Amino acid sequence: MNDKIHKIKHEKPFKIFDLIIYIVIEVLILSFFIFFLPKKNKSYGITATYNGNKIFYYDNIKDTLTFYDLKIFTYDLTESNDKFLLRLDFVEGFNLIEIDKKTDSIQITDSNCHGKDCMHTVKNAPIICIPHGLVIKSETLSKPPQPSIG
Amino acid sequence: MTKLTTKKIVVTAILSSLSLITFLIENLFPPLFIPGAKMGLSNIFVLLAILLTDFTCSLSVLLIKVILGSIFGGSLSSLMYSLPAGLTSFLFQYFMINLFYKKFSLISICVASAILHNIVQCVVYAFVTNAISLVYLPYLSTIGVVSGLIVGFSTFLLIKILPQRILYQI
Repeated sequence: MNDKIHKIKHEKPFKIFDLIIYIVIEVLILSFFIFFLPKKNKSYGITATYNGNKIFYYDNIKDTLTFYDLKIFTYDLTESNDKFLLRLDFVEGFNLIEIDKKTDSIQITDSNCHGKDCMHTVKNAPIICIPHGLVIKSETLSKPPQPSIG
Repeated sequence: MTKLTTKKIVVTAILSSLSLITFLIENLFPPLFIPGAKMGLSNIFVLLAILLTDFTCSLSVLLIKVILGSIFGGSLSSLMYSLPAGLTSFLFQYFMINLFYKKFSLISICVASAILHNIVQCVVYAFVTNAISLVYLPYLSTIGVVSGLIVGFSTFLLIKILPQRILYQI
């Protein structure tokens, strides 16, 4: 006879020692919220990298987009008064990015990656598309980096 | 060391297939509010394997679920963070249940292992993406409490409802 099964069959769902586990969990979660919750940093730009290589930089103040390393990806940019709609095409697939000029917010609105996790990101957190190797995060730079030639 | 009987092999196979099917069905749904958040209902069968069989069989159920689930789900890249997270929470559950089942309830062990699973997943995710940012950890931990409670209660109710003659003969 299985002791564990026999015990579980005849016991209540909670025991007094469970309080130890629940208190530890509560303290852990509270500390996670205090130390790891994303804070809105003063950001002057947003940098995107593809497999570690910088591919574009968005300057919050000037509302300009600068592209780098055009050998490794292609892009299609549509600009309106209040938004940039940027489609990035990689070997692995595409990501459709929307940059709001007024709020300086960036989000991925469409992608053909598996899971589409990059479309559901926490506010102020880096946007990461693992299947496509794309990482988009805020940068606090005094001036934008110079584009590479060739 | 316990013998590997035909009954154990059959039970392991059934639990593996149920776990894999649940995992694949869950994969079809979008993530719960944030990337990587799932209910983890497939862990019900891994937990049942820990309770009904031995270490080797229950580990087989976990590995079959994680490895085949990644292959059939079409996302091999998810294996790099679901495997270490799955192994860590499995080892925690196995040792807690076998050493402390008289002191702690099944549900609390489930909740703790769900949180541990999410912590390991977040840490590996941060290393892999070079983000060095654990911003998802608070949210995933909170969702982990809920999923741990659901998995724990479901397994607890299954043990209560299933007839003794089925459970005690394995």
